[in-house]
Amino acid sequence: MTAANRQGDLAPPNSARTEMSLRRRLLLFLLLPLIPLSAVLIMLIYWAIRSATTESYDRVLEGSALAIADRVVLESSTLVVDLPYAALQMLTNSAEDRVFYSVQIYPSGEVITGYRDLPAPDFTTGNGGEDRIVQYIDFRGERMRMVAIRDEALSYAAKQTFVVLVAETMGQRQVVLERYLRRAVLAFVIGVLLVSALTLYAVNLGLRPLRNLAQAVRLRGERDLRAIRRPVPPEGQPLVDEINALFARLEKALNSHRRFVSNTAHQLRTPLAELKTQLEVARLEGTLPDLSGLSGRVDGLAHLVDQMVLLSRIGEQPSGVDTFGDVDLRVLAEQAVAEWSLRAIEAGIDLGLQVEAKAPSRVHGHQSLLLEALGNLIDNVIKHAAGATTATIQVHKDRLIVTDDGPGFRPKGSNESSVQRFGLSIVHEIMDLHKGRVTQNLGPRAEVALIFDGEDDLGRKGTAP
Amino acid sequence: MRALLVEDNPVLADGVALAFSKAGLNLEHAGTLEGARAFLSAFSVDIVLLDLTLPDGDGLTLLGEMRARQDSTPVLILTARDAVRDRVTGLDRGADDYLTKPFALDELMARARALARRQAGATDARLTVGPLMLDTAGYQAWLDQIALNLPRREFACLAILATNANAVVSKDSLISALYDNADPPMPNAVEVIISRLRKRLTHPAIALKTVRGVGYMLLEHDR
Repeated sequence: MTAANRQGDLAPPNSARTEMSLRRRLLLFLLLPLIPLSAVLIMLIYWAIRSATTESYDRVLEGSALAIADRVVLESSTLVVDLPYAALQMLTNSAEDRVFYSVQIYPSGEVITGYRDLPAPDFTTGNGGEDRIVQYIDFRGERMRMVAIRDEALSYAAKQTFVVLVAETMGQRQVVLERYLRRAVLAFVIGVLLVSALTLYAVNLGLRPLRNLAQAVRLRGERDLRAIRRPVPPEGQPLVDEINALFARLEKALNSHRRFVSNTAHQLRTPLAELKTQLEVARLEGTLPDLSGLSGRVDGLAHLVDQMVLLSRIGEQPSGVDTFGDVDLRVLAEQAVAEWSLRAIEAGIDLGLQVEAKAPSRVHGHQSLLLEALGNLIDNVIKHAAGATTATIQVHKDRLIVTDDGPGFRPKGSNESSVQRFGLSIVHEIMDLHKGRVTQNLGPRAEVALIFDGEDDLGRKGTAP
Repeated sequence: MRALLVEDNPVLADGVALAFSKAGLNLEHAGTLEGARAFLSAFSVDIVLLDLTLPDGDGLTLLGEMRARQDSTPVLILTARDAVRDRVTGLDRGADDYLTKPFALDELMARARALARRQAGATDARLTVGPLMLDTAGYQAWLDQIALNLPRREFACLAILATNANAVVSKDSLISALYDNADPPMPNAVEVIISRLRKRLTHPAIALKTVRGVGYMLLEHDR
């Protein structure tokens, strides 16, 4: 297996939609909310700067109004304002802004000095009787901020209430507001960039174990199926567990294939050796060998080769007959009986079927392979159960049992295990593929059972309900 | 019976030719698809024994061509390739039977005879299994030239078994062939018919076997 198709396994080609990388996903989820959050924060900053500048400029404006009010005196019941022109220049916050003022008698509104048309606010209503009012006004076609102070001028004899109005254009306020806002936004953007950079760094750092894992898998040799032992964060553990489980299954399959190859090679070697010997004997003695015996051996070899080819093809192509599906054990047994009846009859064996299951016995299996396995068992009875007169395939809910009434299997004089002797290794192999098992009693009244009680890769039981 | 063998391996071809000549049957031989096409366009045969791997192509191509022109000559596929896959693709394309190489010549002869017999049964009313002969048009059967005078249902049952001689016929398929749904059989009806037939077919060369749990088989000894 090459690195390329190992990666191919991890990213199945049938998913047309490519998954977003974990890194990109994390960054997106972490950084995307910053956009609305920034908008809200900038609004708040704007609001804070505005109120701060308004407040401080208002205070200066108020100071001016108070300074004017200080200069208002009552001279023989007439209000007099003693305000030098130079002092008026001091009233303003800046050179650009223009300041308008007016001192009026309250409540008559008679103007003592200043701009006549500067409108005085209403101290009685709405403002709760405050002596100091700050408000926006539109004056001479411009938006302005105006402070109005109500005060009293006292003399020994009299008392007179008056109002001082000071209005100012807002050019400088706007300039300052914008300047501070610009600085704040700049600081904010720098902050966001710093946060983003930190996030990027943190995400990369956080995903490093995953990259290390990928690196470790990439550097693996194609035959190295040991479990991954490297410590990974708990979130990565399920993936590693699954990979390890897959490795374990692969290892098992690989071992099973190795065992199968060695078993079949062994099985092929014995009849080949016998064949060779028979031919050599015939050549040395100049006689004819036992031709029908030789022919039978060749048949056996051919059968073995057929089974090897069949087994090697499993899972190779996903379509057609070479796949797993629903198999009815009864139908399977009927097929096997139909296929082997003639040979059984010729061997003097009454081959039959006995259905013990009450309901249809269905398993998830490979029709041709199971037929092959069952055929091997019948073949065994015909070849090795010397003295048997009947052979029966019993169909149970989750198993097939091949029994005979003979005195037991007799090997033809070799010292191999019964599994190799009676071609059972292929049957075992086939049942392994079905996550099932084989039980055998090769003594008198021999019985070999194919039992489907395992679970397949998808967790389905061998027997369907 | 006249057969055409399409096979490029000379050893196999000689072996099959020998078996046919020993049985007193005619065998024509073509080593290529082209040769087989030429022969089939000029002559008709009772059966084609078709190898799949030929020097000028795949035997399945020839099978496809034959079936496309409604030629229903039985075709027995001889294959050395993957048995299961060839069996299925071959049978899908209209082959009648298959045999995996290496095969016993006896087995080949038996299969070829069975196919030819089935074909004969379909086109010609006469059917022969060893000493048994049936005229499916006249509902008459003879054992060693002696008329059996079978009742109609017993005859029908024997005809099915004879058509599929040496193969298992399931009890279910006998029931569905002999009885219609409106007239369900009594329990054991098939067993009764079989036991009556068995009493009549007393000849050492044939036997009516019960295949326990599955059905029956008309067995021809010494095929």
